[in-house]
Amino acid sequence: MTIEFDSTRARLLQTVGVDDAEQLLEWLQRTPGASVDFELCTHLHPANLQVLMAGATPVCTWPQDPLLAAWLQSALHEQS
Amino acid sequence: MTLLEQFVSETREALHSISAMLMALESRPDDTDLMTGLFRVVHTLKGNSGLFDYPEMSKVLHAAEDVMAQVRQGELGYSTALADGLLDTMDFVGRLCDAIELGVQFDASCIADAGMLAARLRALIGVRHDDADAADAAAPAAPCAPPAGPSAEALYAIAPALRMDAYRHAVDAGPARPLHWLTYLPDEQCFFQGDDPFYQARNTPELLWGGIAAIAPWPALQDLDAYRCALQFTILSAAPRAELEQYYRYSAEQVRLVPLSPLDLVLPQGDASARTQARLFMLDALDLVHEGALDTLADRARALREEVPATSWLASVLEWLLLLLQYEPDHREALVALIESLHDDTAPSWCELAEREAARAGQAPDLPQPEPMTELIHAQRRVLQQAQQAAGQEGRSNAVVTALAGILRARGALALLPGLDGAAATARELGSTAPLLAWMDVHFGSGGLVSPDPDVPAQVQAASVSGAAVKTDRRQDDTAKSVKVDQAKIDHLMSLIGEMVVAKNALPYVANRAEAVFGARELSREIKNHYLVINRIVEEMQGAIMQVRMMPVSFVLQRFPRLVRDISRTLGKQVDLVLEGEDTEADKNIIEALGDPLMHIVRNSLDHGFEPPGERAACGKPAHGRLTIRASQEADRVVIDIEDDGRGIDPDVIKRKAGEQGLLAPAALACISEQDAINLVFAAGFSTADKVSDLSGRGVGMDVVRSAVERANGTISLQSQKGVGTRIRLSLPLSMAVSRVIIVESGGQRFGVPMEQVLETVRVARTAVHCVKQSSTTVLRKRVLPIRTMNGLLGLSESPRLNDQDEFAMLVVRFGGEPVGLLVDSFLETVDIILKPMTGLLAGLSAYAGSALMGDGSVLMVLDTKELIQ
Repeated sequence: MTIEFDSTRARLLQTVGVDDAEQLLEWLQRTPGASVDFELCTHLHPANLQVLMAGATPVCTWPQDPLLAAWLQSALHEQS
Repeated sequence: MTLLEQFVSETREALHSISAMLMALESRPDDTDLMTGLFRVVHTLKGNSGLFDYPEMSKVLHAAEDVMAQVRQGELGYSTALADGLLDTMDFVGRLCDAIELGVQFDASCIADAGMLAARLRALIGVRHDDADAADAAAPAAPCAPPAGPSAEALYAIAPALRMDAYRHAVDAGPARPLHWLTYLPDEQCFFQGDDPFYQARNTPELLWGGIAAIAPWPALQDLDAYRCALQFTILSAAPRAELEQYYRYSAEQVRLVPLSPLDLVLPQGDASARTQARLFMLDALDLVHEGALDTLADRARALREEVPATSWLASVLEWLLLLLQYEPDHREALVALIESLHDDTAPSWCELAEREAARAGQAPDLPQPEPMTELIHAQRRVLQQAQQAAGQEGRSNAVVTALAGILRARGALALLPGLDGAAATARELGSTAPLLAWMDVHFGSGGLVSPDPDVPAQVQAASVSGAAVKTDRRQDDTAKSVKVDQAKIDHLMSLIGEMVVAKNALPYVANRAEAVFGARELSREIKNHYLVINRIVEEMQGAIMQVRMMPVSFVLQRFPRLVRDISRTLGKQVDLVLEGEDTEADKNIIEALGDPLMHIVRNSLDHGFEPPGERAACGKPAHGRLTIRASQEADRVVIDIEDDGRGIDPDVIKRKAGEQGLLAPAALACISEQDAINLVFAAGFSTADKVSDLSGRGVGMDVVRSAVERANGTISLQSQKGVGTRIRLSLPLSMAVSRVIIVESGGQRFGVPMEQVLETVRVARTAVHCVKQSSTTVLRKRVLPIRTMNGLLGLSESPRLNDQDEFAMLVVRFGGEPVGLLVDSFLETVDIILKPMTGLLAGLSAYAGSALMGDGSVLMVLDTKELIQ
């Protein structure tokens, strides 16, 4: 399990695989005001990223890896 | 027609001529005229596509043009791979046209296809990376072409600090190793193939910056398919092209690589604060650059940078200026352009700069004055001149402004856009097109930036003075040529005229009644005279509507060059297709009915008729087989001959085969002629499906072909000589709408018999009819003719009547290729009728071909003698 779900926050841990995207999508749909925490994330499969982009999900913490952060900001910054 | 509609219809025409020319090139690959012609069409098409926002189309056409340019210059040989690539490209463009016409957005797969096709074409040019790199570096104008380069907006997405780093990196690396702008559009389905495009993008060699964007607005979450990739990755990399291509070799068609000149990255940004300081600095700075006092300039810039707000445009320009002064102090043009950007806070147009430099270096920018542009500019001018007086001037002006803006963008002359907008605004205020015309004179007429070709202004002026009238005429011609009418409307008109014919035919009856019943002889004559007039008009109307429905045979033939080429290549055979008489015309329904049978026949011929090249050589035939499709008109029929010089049909094999399948008794088989044996291929159920050796196999589905042809009232005949070839002849009526029938009387009733089934009408003396057992025969011109009676066939008990001279009336009809006599009571007149097929329960009565309404309101039943005699 590489995503931990709180009441309104999804914490992405290390490498988030393609299979998690479905669960993430379902969670986003039933969780109004959800946000996402990338702090410990090292890579995520783009299927997950799409879900977050489509959901215009606010980011509370960007990844520690600055390069990954730059990539993600290009995709998600307008919403954060 | 709107510009867009015109564009689509012109594009389709161009596609047709491209594929025709490619076919022609196949046989004459050294024909330079043809090659040049082909290049010109592709070039025109590309130029036109640039006027509209269809990057996919421009992209593939651009690639096609590059390939053709190389071929034309002899750097690349014509090959079938090349023709395949170009044909596929044109198919793709055709599909885009369909989408444009329907007003649908291109979907993601289109974009991927475009990339793939373009990559495939470019692969033909040769993948010598070093050369390609050098060429890219030597031509910094390349990113100017709208579809190829990243837009300034895309580059703005990179943070200024990062862009400055990239700039330093690029200048340090030198022009031989430019940075690359990479667009990676993964396949929609790539997640299912286990791909992680993000991982791949992140690991791009020498990545400087990367961004992710959606290719389309996201749907609502409940409609989102998380596993359909809808992302696009954009990457700035310092790696050499070869390395990037190597890294993305498995998704080459999804990746677009564009070399960037370092200056492309120099894009100031910021707000409009500190305007006054900016103006003052600009004037100073320009002087300093002219004087060559660059150190002073650097000092001033540094000092000013401390004073102004960091978010201002000025601050950004200053930072870039300092960088430029440090890295490219000798590039005065660039410095000036950057400083001048303070004037209106728009980023310098580096493309234009590169173009100007290229022009000055004596090598014209890679933008040949394209004829379509000139043509378009003329068209805009024409519209403006016409609109000067006309109503709806504003709408037309707007259209022209849009088109001109497109032209400017396509030429990379973005700096002229504000001027155009200004002229447009003035024109709107004044309610006149004059300001726009004046603007056009300045920018398109005087040999300025846009038309460096000295011939152009002369042409333009000629067009504006004397050519205007001529052009208007031509425009009208064009419209007349391309009236498009829904077929349903024509059919409706057709059936109205049919009713008109029936109504008209009632007049003679009325005339007769007037005379016989009311004794009004004068009135009767007048009605008859009037009938003649109406008759003439109706016949002309009928002829005219037939003409409307006429289409050239080329409509069905045009697909065969491609079909023959593709099939013969798959089969490893060499076949030349010769088309003759393509402009022969026939009714649309007939032409459409021809399509399937022809396709079947041609396929059969290719599959079974032609021998492989080796076998042909062994028989002493040329390696290339020859398939001729010849259309011609004979009286009121259109005749299509399909001839091949393949191995022909062996009648003995057909006989054996027919015997095995029990189509004919062995005794009958033994005595039939060779021609009759060959005709057995048309028999229902005859098949060579199990591939008897050395049989041409022409029979596959030939009965289907025959019935399709007969449904359109056509006939089919086949002649074949073993080892020499086969000829199939289709003969169809020019039109299906009106049939000519002879009216006969039998058993006190009237029947129609279609004229094409009747060979002749004769009278035979009662004594000349002989009875042999149950059947009757007679001798007609020394041939024995079997006789049937119409009454007998219709199940009527009466025997046929004799006339005063003790003679029978006999129709000679064709049955299975043989004449048969049919005894009736008497012949009446022949008439043109609109045949209505039997419907409902009656449709099962195959003895009747249909019914028709006569002028007196009675219904005429039309017989199908073939079905009747069976």
